Amino acid sequence: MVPKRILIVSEASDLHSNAVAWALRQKGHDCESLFTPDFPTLLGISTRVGPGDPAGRFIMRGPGVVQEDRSAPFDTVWLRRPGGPVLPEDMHPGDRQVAARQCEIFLAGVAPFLDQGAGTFWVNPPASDVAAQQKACQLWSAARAGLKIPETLISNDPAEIRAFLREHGGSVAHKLLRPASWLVQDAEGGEHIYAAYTVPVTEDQLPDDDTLRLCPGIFQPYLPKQFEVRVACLGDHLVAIRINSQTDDRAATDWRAGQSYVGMEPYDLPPEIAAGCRRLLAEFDLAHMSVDFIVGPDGEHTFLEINPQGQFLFLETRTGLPLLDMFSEFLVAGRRDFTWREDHEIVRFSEFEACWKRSWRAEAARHAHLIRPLGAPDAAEDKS
Amino acid sequence: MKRNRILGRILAKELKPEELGLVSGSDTVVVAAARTTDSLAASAGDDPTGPPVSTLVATLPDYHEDQ
Repeated sequence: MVPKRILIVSEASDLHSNAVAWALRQKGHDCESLFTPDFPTLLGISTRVGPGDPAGRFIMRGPGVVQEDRSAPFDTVWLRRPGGPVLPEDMHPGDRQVAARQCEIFLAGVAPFLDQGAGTFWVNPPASDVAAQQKACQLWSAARAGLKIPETLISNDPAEIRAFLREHGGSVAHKLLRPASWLVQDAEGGEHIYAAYTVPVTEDQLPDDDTLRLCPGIFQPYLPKQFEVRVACLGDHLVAIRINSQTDDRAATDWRAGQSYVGMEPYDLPPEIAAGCRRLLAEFDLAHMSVDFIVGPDGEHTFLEINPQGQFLFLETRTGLPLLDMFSEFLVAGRRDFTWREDHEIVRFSEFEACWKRSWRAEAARHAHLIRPLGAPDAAEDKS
Repeated sequence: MKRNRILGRILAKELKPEELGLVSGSDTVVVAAARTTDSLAASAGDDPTGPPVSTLVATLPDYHEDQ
């Protein structure tokens, strides 16, 4: 076996990137991680081009970087949720804004140096990954791929939103285009976390129009469900899980809100739905994505959304299917026509977890971390 | 002063500590603040020396999308 050279672009606290890097090394491959929040405080990145070296060089120095000059192309680059640059809190505010913009623009431009046109396998191609995150485009493309989609309004227009609600009997499902959460402090100083899941909304719950128009959202008729399905697409290899979301009220509307309380099991995806998923991959020029479906009482599958870098390891935790091994083999194969075969020693997520629990603290200390504020704590008087 | 609250915030659901950290590797909201992370890890019954909630806990929403 010729060891593959694989780069994972992520952040230090991302469980998936750490697990896959571990698995790839277990399999004897050269895997390097580029944690973008380390840039610029801990990580130096240089790109250099000149008349005699038009292909240029890519050089990085920082924690965990084994080989500084990575000018030789990688076989595979996995863009696993790279985080934004992290700048010191004590920077002058005027400098901070300028530096942040410079960092973001620079990072966005390094992709060509990572493959240097040598046919590196991208999971996913950067432009495709960005385009595939647009919810309206997802629905449009899913319909083009032959999948059934729900009627959907994405809007900040109060008149459109109120009309849509009335059109659908006064109650529809609402979700944000991107998830959000808030940290709320109560009068006694206690902290509570709130998250915006998919929930039914009625017209009397809408804020006043001036507020409603401040934040667009997704509105869809509430569809009756028998169960839900998540599909992890690793090239042509699809892994489908049935989520029995209707067995517990906490998961009935949005299974993520009660995922611990409902069963999950391997699911045989109907061939026409599998074919639709593969067409959707092609439509977005993606190598990898996760897809969510609702299955109605009539057995019909309705497409909900995709996530081009969706979580997949919980599928192994909940069903025993070796997703960590499958995904690692996918990166090694470096092909979109990949299909996983059980012809080798399989690495297990549980093995990684055991190692990670012992080493995470030392590892984390070597890297910068994104601060993801949950929102300014509510003052007690704001809760009404 | 009372501030505007967007619809997502009005409809947000409180996450109980016991609902966090139960399914590693799943979709999650990452709880970023260290003080929250530590207190939640403890109250969720995690090994206090184990990975932080932000790492092992499954998610509130997919956190990369919060960036």
